[in-house]
Amino acid sequence: MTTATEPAVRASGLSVSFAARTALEDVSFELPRASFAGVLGPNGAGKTTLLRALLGTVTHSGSASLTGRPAYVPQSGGIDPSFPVDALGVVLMGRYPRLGWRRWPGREDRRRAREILGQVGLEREARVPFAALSAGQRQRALVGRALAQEGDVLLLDEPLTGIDVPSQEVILATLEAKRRAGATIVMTTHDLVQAARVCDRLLLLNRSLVAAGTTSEVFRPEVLGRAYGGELLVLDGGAVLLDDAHHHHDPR
Amino acid sequence: MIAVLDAAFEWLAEPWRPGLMRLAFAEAVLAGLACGALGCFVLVRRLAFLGESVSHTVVLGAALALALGLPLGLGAVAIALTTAGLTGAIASDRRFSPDNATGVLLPTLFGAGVALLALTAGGRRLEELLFGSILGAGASDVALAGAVVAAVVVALLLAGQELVLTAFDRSVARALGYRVAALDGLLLALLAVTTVVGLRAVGGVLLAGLLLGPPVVARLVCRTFWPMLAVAAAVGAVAGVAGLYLSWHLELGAGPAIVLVVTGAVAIAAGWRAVVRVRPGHRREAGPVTAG
Amino acid sequence: MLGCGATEGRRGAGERLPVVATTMPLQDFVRQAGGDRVEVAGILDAGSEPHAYEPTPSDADAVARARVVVANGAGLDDWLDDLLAQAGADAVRVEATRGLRLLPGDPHAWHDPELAKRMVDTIAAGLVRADPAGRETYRRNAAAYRARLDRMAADIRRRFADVPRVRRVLVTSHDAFGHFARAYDVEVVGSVLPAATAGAEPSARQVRRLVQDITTRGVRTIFTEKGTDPRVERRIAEETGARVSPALHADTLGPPGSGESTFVEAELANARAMRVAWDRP
Repeated sequence: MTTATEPAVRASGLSVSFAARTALEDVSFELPRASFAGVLGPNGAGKTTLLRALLGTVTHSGSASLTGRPAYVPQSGGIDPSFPVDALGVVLMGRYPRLGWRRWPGREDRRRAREILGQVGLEREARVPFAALSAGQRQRALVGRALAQEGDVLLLDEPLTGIDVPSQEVILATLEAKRRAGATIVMTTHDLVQAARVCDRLLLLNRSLVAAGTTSEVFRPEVLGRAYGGELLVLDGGAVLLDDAHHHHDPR
Repeated sequence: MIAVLDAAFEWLAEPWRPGLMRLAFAEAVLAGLACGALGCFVLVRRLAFLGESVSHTVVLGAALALALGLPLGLGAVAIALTTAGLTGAIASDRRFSPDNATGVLLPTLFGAGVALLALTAGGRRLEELLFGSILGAGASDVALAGAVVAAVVVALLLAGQELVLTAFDRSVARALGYRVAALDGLLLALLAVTTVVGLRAVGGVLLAGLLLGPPVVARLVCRTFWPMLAVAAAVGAVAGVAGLYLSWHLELGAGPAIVLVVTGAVAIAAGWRAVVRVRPGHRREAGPVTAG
Repeated sequence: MLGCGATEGRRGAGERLPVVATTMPLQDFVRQAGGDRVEVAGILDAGSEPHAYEPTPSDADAVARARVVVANGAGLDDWLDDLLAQAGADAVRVEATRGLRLLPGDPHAWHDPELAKRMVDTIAAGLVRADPAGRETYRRNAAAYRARLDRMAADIRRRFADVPRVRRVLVTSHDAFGHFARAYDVEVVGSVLPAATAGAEPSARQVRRLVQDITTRGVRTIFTEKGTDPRVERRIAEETGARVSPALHADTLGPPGSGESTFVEAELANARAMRVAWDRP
């Protein structure tokens, strides 16, 4: 039972190590209910690991907890797009935990799933195979699956990366709607500007927690510089450009 | 006209008269159902090589069972589970890809099985295990096959959705709290007992065909998983019946005839799909973004 | 290659002529013809399947050391050819069925006692070629064994004499008794496995034909073979009401000490089993 003041997400002294390296070191933070948190950091900073630790799917020391039901949208790379499932089927998968003794989805589940497809703009793609959807449509379907779980905390790993802008907007609008209904959103991203725009709280991660707080607190050149180091570029007028190794094209 | 119908009816009805053929039909249908259904999981999890590996190494299990004087099924199941476990362990070691794992295991275990069989039994037992002996199926063989199919049905009814989600998106399955390791174990156990039944029907060499052929056919005509599984099971069962018809009316060995039918079905389905693809209006895969 | 006794004076006292023979019946023939002068090494044993045999390194070793290599021929042991490439250049090769008129497709000539006698003679001639000093011994042994085979044949004929022709029928696992049938006036109604090669399972069509033949001819017994699991035979028996019998020695002999380890003993055991089966209602 979530009280109004209890934080939705809490980590304390959270550390995760894999065979050779430390992925997360002594991370501690709290996120209040109905916040929209962005997790930022360079590659290898441990953003995905943080989500997995919060979900409890990776061994960790220290504590990591969520209040309420989680829903997870992992990075899309792990899914085989040729799997024989259609958009409706993907969203329906989110209903599985709620099936209980019935084991198989019923009419109510399907109705709810179609409703969600409408929310993410896929009402006409219900029967389209996952493989035939565009990247943006697939991501929307996967977000729809998370919505179908009717979770209190939504954890999304780079949900907006590499998909078309209209799809990004649909997803963000849907997440915002959930947030207004009381859900807490935790989203990893490497798009700083977008994060600053839509998130009200930011976690800056580089193996350890560099900074955590409201967007205005964290989104400052000196703070960002501690996480990104030399990859940061500050322009006149306060605008910030991140020289992200991802997007390097010119052969220098 | 009546004569033609009579002849056709006779052609259809004749193979069912001898008791041993009825047993063989039952065995073929049950083996086809089980292999077709389980093969779908093997296929979608890109475990095609594992399926082949398991099926071939069931020969080793059978050989060990013979050598130790144990019931054939026991040895086969034990080795199948061991192979599956070994392959899984090797595959999850990041230094190897699953292909490497089965690439190493398959020839080793198959070769060991053949060698062991040649040492212990030789000759006809080896042929039986490599190419099937469905015409020798007795009441107890059919009962075992029936039990396997029943187990598969029950498992799918109770854990089917979890198995599908684990195959589609393992990390979300974990996040939802599913015990993915236990589900993997369930799948491998079902696969092991299924391959033992399939071994009787078509033998170790051709078993991969019965296991993976019907799912390939079904995948070409179905877009979602459960219809695909139903079609694959049906294709397996029909291939079993058709193969026995071929063995009865022509002079073909039963096991090879069954797999021949499966291969024909794959060819037909692939051809049909190719034609369908050429038709205008067919939705292109991953096309440009449409509004909404 | 051990090169033992390659060209030098071959045998001192107590040194036997090393001979390799493929099938167990042939191994017995060599022992009978060679007596104490030979040391027989066999390739196939009770569990092996002659039609699809894979030679082992120890087989190659035995062949390399042999002075005489005895094969059946007629397609039964074609795999021996590769193995023979490893035998010493002066090894005498004996094809036991050479020059014999066999039933087409059936290499199991030794079940016909007349052919068996000729095979023994051929083997003896081979032993003489490799070891001329033993000529008298080999010829004497061969003659004695031929007489033994004659007595065996008479024994079997006597045993079968009062069985009506119509009941003297054989259905066996594989088609190994064609020559036996011709020699002892028995009819082979059919066999479970096609032709002479004990290969894959029969097709349903072949099973159907056999069931028909068994039913039409009123065959009461299906004879199995040692070392096989007679699943198809059992199904056919269930279908026709016939019985599955104790196994016959088709390609092999019994193990030492079983009382059926020589060819004569094994063949007499076969005849006994057939008689018992034919006597059953």
